[in-house]
Amino acid sequence: MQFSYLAIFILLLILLFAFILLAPFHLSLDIGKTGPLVEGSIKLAWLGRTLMKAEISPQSAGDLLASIWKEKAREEKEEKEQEGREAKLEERSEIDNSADSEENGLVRPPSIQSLIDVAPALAKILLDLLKSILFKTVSCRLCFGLGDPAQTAIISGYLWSLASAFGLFPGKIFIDPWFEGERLEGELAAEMEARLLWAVFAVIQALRVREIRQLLREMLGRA
Amino acid sequence: MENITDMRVMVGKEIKAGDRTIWPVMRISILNTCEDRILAIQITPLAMLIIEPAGQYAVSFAGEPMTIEAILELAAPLRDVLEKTRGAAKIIKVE
Repeated sequence: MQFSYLAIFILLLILLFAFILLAPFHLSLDIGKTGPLVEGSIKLAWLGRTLMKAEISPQSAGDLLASIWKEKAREEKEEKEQEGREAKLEERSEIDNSADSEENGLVRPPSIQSLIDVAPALAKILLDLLKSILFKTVSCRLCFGLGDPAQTAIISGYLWSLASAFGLFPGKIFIDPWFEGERLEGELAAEMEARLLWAVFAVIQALRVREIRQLLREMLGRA
Repeated sequence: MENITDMRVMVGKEIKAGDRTIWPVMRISILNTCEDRILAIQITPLAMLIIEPAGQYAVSFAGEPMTIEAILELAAPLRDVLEKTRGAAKIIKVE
């Protein structure tokens, strides 16, 4: 009797896990810039519940950049303070450095050779991950001018080529060159869907590749 | 088929080469679809106005001689450029 309860429990657990992996995440993105004003919203939902919602209230691009820079400066200041505190703590402690770094989980930068070795495998996994994202709707309108008509036309050509090469939504990407001066305006609206299953699958596939395992070991200082 | 091709003559960004400034003049032809979307753009260089400390002159890419008046007729915004240059030259002479 106890055994059957355990089996049912494990089965329910597997079903729950499968449900979590198969239920799609929805991401809605709507960003626009009209004149100097930037506004938009980003929403992440799962099973009809909003997990994250961020709105950019209408503000000028300059104000937006200034607020981002301020936030970055504050974060950097906090990081420096934290580093200072950690350095003081390290000075006090007499623990061996190598052992300490492993225990603290510090990540080391990988060597260039390892990155070159891992690049093809990583590109394949990233492609697999991208394939798992289903774009339900995408519409993009971009109006830009670089101040020089010739440069504007050349960049327009490049952008059209890129849009055509991706070839996903030919009817919904509008690129309008502006030859009269400098300008940057546009809108991007996208709704996409992704399942965790493919992400987990891609991670498992990644871990099966020897070069990626080697890179991870190197970054964790266990190579 | 009306308005399917839009043609305009424009002045490009100036190119500096030492004391010399070159102002390119080009014709931009835009081919639109019936839905008013751009199908193709063609840029044809027409002429250039060259401003040197010694003076100004125009060069036509068609290979024919070109006067300053002709290039100003082709691209009116160059009038302001020339006026500014002449104004700056006068100030230098007075100094």
